[in-house]
Amino acid sequence: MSMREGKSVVGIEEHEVDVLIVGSGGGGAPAARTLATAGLDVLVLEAGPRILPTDLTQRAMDTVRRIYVDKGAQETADGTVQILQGSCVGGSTLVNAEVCFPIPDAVLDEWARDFGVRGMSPDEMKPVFDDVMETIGATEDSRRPLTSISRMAGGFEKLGLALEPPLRNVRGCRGCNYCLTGCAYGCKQSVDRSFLPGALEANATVISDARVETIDVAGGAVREVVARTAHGTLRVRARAVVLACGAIATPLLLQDNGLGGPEVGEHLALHPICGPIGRYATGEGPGKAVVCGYCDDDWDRGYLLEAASIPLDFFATVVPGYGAAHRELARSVDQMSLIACIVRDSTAPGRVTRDRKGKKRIEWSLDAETEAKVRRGMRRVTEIHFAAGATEVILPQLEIVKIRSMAEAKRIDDLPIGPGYFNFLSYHPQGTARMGAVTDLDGRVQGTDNLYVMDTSLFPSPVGVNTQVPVMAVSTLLSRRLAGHLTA
Amino acid sequence: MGPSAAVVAALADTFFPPGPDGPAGSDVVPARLDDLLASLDPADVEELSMAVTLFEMGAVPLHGRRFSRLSAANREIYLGGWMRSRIPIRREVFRQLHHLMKNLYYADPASWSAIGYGGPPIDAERAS
Repeated sequence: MSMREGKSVVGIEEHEVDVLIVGSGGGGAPAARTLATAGLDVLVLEAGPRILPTDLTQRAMDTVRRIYVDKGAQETADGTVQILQGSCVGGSTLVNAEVCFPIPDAVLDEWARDFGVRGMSPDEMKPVFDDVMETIGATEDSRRPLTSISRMAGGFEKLGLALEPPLRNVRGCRGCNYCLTGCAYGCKQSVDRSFLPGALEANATVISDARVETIDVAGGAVREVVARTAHGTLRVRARAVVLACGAIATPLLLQDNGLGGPEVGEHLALHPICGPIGRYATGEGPGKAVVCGYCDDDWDRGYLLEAASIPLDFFATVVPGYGAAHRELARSVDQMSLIACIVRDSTAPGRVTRDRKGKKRIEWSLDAETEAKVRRGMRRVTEIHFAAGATEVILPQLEIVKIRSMAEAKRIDDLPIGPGYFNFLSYHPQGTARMGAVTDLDGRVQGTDNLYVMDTSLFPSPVGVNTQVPVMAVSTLLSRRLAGHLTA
Repeated sequence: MGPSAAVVAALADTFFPPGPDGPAGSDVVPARLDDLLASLDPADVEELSMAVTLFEMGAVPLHGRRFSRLSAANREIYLGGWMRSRIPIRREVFRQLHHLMKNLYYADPASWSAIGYGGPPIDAERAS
């Protein structure tokens, strides 16, 4: 068992293993555990660094620059969506809000009905979700710090809605609320603290700071994978190669190597998040976790609401405007509360590709139906804030746009949400190497015998909930099949 | 080459004017920007410099002088013009500057008391 840093690789190092896994996040780590515990020789290569709890500072910008892809500057070509992903051992699971949902039954049914997915029915997935939830500590106990949830709960209640504390992947959570900057106390059960230890115990090797560039395929079989480190090169031969770099980097790696066919990189869904901010007469103090409660409102509406509390240095950066008007608002940021509206994309019109200079290019736009959901969701959030006693609601625009009553909420219908007006966040890119199109139903890339994808790229339609448990479960299931195949 | 220091200072002060509500933008942003630029790809630094230059020179046809040479009041009006512009590229430049200025400013502990933020608890826990 070993965990190494890429800088220890000097010159050319050659490896021959049963399975090479590229990426150590929510897709790669569960696959590593499954395959290693099946007795296979597993090597995991991670492009980002290894981060320990003692490396973390609870400072938003410091974390973003050290851990997030492109130092937090990854965004769509038109700038409307900032896409936040972790780039480190454990990937995005290090910096997420610890919200745990299985894939909703309706989504699994949709995958079977509309995309021909087999073997992932709600009944078949249930034991896999249970296994994942147990591995990451998402037990009933994890809700406990949240039971005295925020004043927003009253707002939901007045509208006949319920704000429920979500299951969270934590052990011994102290409720410090600094989840998005990575857990400095080691309580968050990100995959580097849950799945990877099991893989390491079963003799897997993880090398951080090693970026895979070349996948050499001949006659349908991967012959060799080449990765760069600061001072060296890794050349790896494996019986099977699993790509788990997330829905942005996986399709790029496939495209760069001419693999996967014409649909690679297409159908990007983002779960755009918009969050009108409620300003209240008094402060509430920090929450016990970033997401203190969720409400699925009406799932058919296609959005999930999550009442959130974020540290004030982070919160101030999303307060709109500039100059004295911004100062005036930011002064009362401790009196503000957030409800994130996570919208399930109706169609998936985005794509990931490279421009002529070789830079990654992420295109995504709102289709009419998704836009309607965004506006409905914003109205709902506004309504909840007022019901909870907010004195005004600040809309997620670059310019300061305030609403002082529900009568004014009609402005949401005409609010410009095109490029340069509106800012969405995305933590959940999905769908760029669809199961059943780019890969077969086992995750094997079309036209190859032994190259697999096991991350959110596979999702044929967006899951509509936080993606960590969904990806861990899909990866666990597919890697079990692969283990069976390799050990047969 | 990074963007001109005079323009960065003028921009930072237009986003965060001097006053009782915390340090002026120009007291905080420039050093943090230098640090950030040193860690970026030269191509990204170049792109940012071009956006800043575009913004700086765009004031000439409107106000007769560059942005950094305008009065504080005119700088504020000019910046608002980009925020509300019908020309998408101007709004995009505003968005990028907005994002950059806020992230750099609120990264500095000196800005925290004005927003009522006591700082992360881990500092005191690690010190003891």
